[in-house]
Amino acid sequence: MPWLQRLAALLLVIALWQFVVSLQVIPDRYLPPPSSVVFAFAQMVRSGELVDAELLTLGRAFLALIASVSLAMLLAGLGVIFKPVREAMRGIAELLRPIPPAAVVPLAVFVLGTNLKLYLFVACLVAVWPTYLSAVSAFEGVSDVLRQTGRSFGCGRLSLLMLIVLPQALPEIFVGMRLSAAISLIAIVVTEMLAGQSGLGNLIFRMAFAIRVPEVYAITLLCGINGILFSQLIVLLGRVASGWHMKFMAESVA
Amino acid sequence: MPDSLSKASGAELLAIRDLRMGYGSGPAAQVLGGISFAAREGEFLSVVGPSGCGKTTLLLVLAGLLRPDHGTISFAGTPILNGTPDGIAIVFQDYSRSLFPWKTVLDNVLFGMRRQRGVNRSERNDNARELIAAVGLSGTENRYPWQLSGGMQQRVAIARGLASRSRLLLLDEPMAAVDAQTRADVQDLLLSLAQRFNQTCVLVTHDVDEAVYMADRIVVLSTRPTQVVEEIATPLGRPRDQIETREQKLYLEIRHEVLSIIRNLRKKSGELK
Repeated sequence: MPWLQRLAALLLVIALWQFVVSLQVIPDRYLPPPSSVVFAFAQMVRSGELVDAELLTLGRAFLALIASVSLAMLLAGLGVIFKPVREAMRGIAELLRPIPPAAVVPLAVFVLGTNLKLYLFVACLVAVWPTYLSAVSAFEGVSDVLRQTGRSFGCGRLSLLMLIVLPQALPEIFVGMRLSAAISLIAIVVTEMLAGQSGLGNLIFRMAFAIRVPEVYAITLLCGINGILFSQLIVLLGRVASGWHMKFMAESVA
Repeated sequence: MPDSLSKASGAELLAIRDLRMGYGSGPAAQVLGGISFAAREGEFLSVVGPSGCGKTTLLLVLAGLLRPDHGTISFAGTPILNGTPDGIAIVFQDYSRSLFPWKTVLDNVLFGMRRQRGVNRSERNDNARELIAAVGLSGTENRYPWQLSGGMQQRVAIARGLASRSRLLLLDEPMAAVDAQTRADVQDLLLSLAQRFNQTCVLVTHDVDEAVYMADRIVVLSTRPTQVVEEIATPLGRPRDQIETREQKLYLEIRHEVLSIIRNLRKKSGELK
């Protein structure tokens, strides 16, 4: 059972952590023991501030993911049907891709203010690309024979895209979506840290400023857990939408 | 024993005149150099020629998937302009890339019925199952194509082509990627289905034996720039038999003639010494 192995690995890391702390080579205020991190976590949950922040961050990240994926699929889909779109996007994608979310936040705050629009704007700007690029690659990878087959049965451009190209491309697109999910989360937290007044990013910032180190560790770890959650969500969605592919991969080993 | 598969009405179902097609520029780029022939309703036509003579290109043009540089194609009297007309179905050589991997066998075959009107869902399901049984794949309806062997996949592709109830079925070397025994089985299957569903077929192949065995009439193509070199009738009686028919004197004569034509063409083009 793979999850058992993963759990064991996790416990091993925590044990190692505790061991390093007990060696006293790093001062407690830099590396607190696991126990105090858990304690800080419990405290924040009890006070309600962690739960509030978590829900806000998750909510924003989820919306950002939906917006990014929708935009990515729309652009990629248009690129399939209209060649000029595809060509134009090539340059734009290369230009916008490497821009770090943090760099965009100050100006975005100035223009949009601190509200949901800000979060969505920053997150979309960076989270669109993995899904978009894997969609473009997946669409291009659909074999000519498959397209010809669709056309021979009377599919027009739109039908070809929706009934043939998309189902074939979906497994690869989900790989990109997992990445977009992770990037959405990161972008939201970063924006919260730089400009937000709520959410996990803002909470980390406040706790760090107050030098409450175990709290910072706790929230950071929670961010990691959120990432796993989002990733698993996409995997589940993928299983629903492209279950055939997983079966195919499993049976192809033989 | 009737010569052609069914009561051939004799009317021209698919007619092409002076079809030309080239890629790029220069004389070497001319693939199809003026092809003219016709397929008549109810007949089984084999198109055979040396490798590289553009058979697949020709078939794509016949299916309306490629626009020729020059020439006319008409289907049931109407010119084919844009896309595959309702009434033509094509079975591709590369079945593994042609069948939809996200659909089950049943759904693949149902897809072939896309263009049918006035047939409700349960009727379509029944028809699809009947076709799957007709190609000998009962029980695989809920499997995925990639779970089946090559021969079985090709039969799914054929069932899907037949599902469209098209007047004309085009086949692009359907037996090329399949082993010899399966090939013989699929050949006989195709012939029996064509007879049963009164299906006009145009089969493109490089295999002369197959062309002679299956056809009512053979069109022999040249090397590039490809033209029709010969049209040969093959009245070998129906139903055909893998052993008996292939021993007939007429079969051997026709086979000899076609192979000689192709050999001479290849010598002339410099392919053979």
